[in-house]
Amino acid sequence: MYLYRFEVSLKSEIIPVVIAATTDEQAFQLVDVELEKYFLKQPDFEEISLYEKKKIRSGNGFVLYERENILNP
Amino acid sequence: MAYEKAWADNPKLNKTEQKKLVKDGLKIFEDIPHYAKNGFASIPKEEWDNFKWAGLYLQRPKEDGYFMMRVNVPSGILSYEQIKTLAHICKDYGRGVFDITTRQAIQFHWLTIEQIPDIFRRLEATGLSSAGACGDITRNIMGNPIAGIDPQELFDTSEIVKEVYEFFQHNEDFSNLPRKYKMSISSNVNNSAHAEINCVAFTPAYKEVDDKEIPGFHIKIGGGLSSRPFLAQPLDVFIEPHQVKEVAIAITTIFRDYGYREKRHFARLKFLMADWGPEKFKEKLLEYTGQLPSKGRDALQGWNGGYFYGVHPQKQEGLSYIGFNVPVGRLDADEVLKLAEIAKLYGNGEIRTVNSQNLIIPNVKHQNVESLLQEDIFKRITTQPLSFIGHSVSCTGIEYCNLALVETKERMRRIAESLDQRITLDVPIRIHMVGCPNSCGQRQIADIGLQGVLLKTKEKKMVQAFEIYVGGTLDDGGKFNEKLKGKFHADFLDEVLIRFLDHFKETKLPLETFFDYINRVGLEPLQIELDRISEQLEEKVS
Repeated sequence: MYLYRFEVSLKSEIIPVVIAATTDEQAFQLVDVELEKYFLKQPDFEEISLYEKKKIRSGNGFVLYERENILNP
Repeated sequence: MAYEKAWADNPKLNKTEQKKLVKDGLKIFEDIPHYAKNGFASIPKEEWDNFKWAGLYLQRPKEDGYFMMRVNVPSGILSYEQIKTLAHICKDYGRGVFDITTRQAIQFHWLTIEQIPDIFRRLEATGLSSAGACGDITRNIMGNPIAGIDPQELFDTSEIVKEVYEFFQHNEDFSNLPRKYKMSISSNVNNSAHAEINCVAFTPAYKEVDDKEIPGFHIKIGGGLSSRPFLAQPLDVFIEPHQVKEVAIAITTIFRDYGYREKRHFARLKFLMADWGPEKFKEKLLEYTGQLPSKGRDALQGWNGGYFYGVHPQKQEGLSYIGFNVPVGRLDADEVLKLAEIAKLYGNGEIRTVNSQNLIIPNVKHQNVESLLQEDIFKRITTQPLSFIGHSVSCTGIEYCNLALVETKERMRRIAESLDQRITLDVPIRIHMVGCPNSCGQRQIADIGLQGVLLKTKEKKMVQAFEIYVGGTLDDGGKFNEKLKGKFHADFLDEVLIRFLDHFKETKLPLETFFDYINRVGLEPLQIELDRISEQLEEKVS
């Protein structure tokens, strides 16, 4: 099981999403599910980027501070 | 146990630390014979991570039970017997895949637990070891790959590296460090051991003592890449060659006893150094070593990126060393056997590994150089590689690594080949490709760093893509490269790079390096150019 760090790029904002899953494919599917759960309707995204995955264990996590994606001004 | 684990009572220790208190990582060596006898299924899952102390990782997918093994090569120096041993292990057990790493070590793949005891026996018989090649312990010690034959080195560092390496090998006083721990010891004036990205680096220096200038070392502490990169910072001390072991032990003791153990991602020496700063670190060091003289004159003249291509005279009259390119660091076992025989026939059998994932054959008589170069194998493993393939580095990538998101090694080779066919520059461009943010391919110090991401596009297509970083170096203290905007579909990356480098070619000054060029023009024109390329390419990802 891995912890995945995503960024979902919308037109004017970036949404960080963290998912626990066993495969990359499953993790991408679960991003859709989580987006739908949160926004009720899936937002119109430009792209969903997987930046990093870590093994799930105590002490592993991500700091969601700096954005990987740089939005155009 | 010859020391007290001062951190043992900390209730906030992370799980790995708690495990290490119960069982030292090196104890895995005692368990391996049992597991080898009873097969992979007999290894409890919670023991998998302990194999790192024996230089073993499970390659992906872990459940299949194949191991990657990393073998230490201190200073990158291998004897004829050692090379033959490595090649035969690779041929007999490792499906012939022989990788040179960015820390001068050797990596095998596809090993099963049943094979490990025999591999250990073979390694030990020739003085090799995989102990501590992974895990929270002193890793392979990087050195000057031309130590002892380098006309410009201040002195031969090979014995110093060996002495320090052997002290830490299987040493349970230092096998429970907070995290991985990387050391380099080199007196090469071109910074061939990449001082600034090591936890601890001994770099060449002179100091005036009693009206006489003596050679020795400066030290830099707290470098490291990974997802939070730091450049090592100098301490205001001068170390004489005979003091290196003592100082290395002192610094390692400081890391062991004061390093952070609550959070794994905050445990490398670089974080302690970032908190303490050079002054406090020096003060603590002097508590262990007693007074040390202040810094002398730095003897570093620049940075060669770890590249030694071509034929060069050694300090020994009449002898040459020859630097070869190994495309993205990968050889097959038969090639290694052939290289060993050539090294013996023309040299003294020695081969040196380089952190640029390349190799050197030393001690070749000048008059034998031409015949050596006529050998068939040197059509692929060449002294004069085309520029891009000659300066490409790649991590292992998705082929074997559990954390990689994309394929890298073969892709980097293909892209470099494509660039070499289509563009010629008057300076080399160092391109490093990595498959995740963990930087095994040292993305941050590349002229152009390519970092892989997995993307789902608007059209719900899954694609492997890369982000582009520019302007890294270890010259003059070092600078990490910076990210440009945009992500590029892996299949079109070569086209993006060709257009990007064409622009560089058209706008650069004669013989201007990529780093100097960025310093002169800034990032903005490069971003504008990259955006323009993005628009031109219909298949652009974002």
